[in-house]
Amino acid sequence: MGFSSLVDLIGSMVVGGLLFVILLRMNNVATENTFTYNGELQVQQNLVATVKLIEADFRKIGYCANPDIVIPARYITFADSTRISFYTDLATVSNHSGDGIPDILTYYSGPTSELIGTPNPYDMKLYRVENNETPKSANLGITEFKLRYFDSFGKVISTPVADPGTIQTIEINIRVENTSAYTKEYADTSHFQQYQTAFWRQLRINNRNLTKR
Amino acid sequence: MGGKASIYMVLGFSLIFMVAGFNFSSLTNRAVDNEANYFSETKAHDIAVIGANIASNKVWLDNTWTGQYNNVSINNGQLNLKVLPVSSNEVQIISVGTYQGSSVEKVANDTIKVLMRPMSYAQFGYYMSNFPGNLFFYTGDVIYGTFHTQGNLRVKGRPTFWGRATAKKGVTPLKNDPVTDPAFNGGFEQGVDIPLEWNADITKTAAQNNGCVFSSGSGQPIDVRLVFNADATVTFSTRIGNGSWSSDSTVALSTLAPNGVIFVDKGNVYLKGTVNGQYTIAVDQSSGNGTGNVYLEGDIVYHDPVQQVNPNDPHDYPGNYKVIGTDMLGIVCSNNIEIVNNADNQNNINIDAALFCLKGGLEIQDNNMPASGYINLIGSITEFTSQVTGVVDGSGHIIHGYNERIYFDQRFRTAAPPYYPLTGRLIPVTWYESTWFAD
Repeated sequence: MGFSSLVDLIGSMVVGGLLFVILLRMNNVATENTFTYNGELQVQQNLVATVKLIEADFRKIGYCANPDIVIPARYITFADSTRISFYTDLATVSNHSGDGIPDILTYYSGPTSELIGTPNPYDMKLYRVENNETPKSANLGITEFKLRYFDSFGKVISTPVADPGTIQTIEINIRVENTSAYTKEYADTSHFQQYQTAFWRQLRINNRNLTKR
Repeated sequence: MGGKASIYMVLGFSLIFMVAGFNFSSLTNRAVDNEANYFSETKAHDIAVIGANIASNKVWLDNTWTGQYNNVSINNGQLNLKVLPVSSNEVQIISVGTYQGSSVEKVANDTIKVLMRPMSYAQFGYYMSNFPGNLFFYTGDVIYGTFHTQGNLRVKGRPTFWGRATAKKGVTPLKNDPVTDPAFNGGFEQGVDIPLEWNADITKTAAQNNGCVFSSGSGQPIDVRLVFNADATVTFSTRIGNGSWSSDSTVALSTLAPNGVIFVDKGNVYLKGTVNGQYTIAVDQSSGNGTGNVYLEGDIVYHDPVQQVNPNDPHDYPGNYKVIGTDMLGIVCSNNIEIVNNADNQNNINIDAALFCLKGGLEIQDNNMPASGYINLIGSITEFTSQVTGVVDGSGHIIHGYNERIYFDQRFRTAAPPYYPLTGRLIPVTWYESTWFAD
């Protein structure tokens, strides 16, 4: 084994080492990208799923298959910036237009302390409660659920709303973030750079059951 | 050997990059698909809303409209619309919006169903065709039920409207300290045109068919005095022109007017008593102030009990009163409903009825009558213009006539006394947005 063989061996070790480092780096980048893209997809899917449910429910504020039961001024029973309760007529198995018996639906966001197990410090549960049933929720990475209310003249009503009957339009703001970030190693990285975020705002949802009579 | 290894290495890396790239692009595509599907569903919903708005407006303008649209292109989607009768006087609009962004995307559908129902004037807690220029609603005023005026609604301070308020010419907030901020608990809408009309022939025909018509037969006016009795009878007498009153007759209302309609053709009605059943008293053919009037000679109340609603009752307004039973009375006249200045009326007057005045309003007959407490009206009031029911001094105290307490009988939202005047409009009473269904 001569000197040239030694050089070949060292050279191949260097080249092999470089290739190994490249592989490790590539794996790391691929994992990060997968996490990021998957996180973004998940955030968007969570947002769209949440929004669809909220739109379907909020568009039916005050709706009842039997129109003679609840009066318009009482359609919304409670309204605050993160909580709302209203009369509606929820779909049943046999009749998706509702059974004509008014239901009370409540939406509210829970405290962030409920989800201390997730890396994201701001995520919270969004609760949907039908009548007096046990509150149901899922961790969809919601970090903001804010409601603003407007009267007949488009003026913002301060919350909690003293006279919910004066509400004519509602603005809904929802932010969904990934519940965990890939890395937090960069101290100067902002929260929104660490966590994939999607924001949705329904400007002035104009519920026809609130304004029809 | 070295060359083969290189080829394997290049192929291996290429394969790894292809798999990774495919996964990344797949994730991106799914994210875009997700957004695109939501966009399509939103577009389908918007198209359905457009259709429902078009149809409800057409039905509002022409209550006989039963047209339909098939596969109309709107907003790059399609609209299918039909109007179906669901009962003798109700129609349902079914508007289906369809949208497909491209041939590879899913078809999104959305359906909106609107139920429309005739609107009687009894549905208004307070209808005032002409809103006098010197009148305004002020802090402390509470309007129960729907309000409408063909004029300009003037408000000052924070009056409360518990039902929907509409004004053809809009709302004028008058200067006030603190600021004017009316509470429209049922919403406010301007530009709504609901003229005050009454086709008396419909009421008269009903009275001729199965009710009761009082007429002099000679063209002279006829006055009718009606005293409703709690046992579902009525004691009545008549006089023609300036003649003397006939003797009293007491008959069962089911015999006198089986369908509940009592029509006075050119004359006046003098009214009081306790109503047991469902009736409409109509007085037509006003001639100046001489005929077409109803004179209230005392309380006209229901036999059924009346009670204040539970403030937490979602079926009613806080502070309102409701009738526990089926008694119902409509008082319809082409002129005024006047409260007579007599001993019975000088310590409050209680009125349980839906009031309709085509050319006048509810007023006191004598502007010099003593301060007499309150007009306690439980029902509904429709008048051409607000009339004098009380005279106040400089400090706002009543010195002649009455203060007013007007409560809305919630039963009139869905029912009305027999043959009570209709607005001729169909209004939406339910607006159902299905989302995701194309039923």
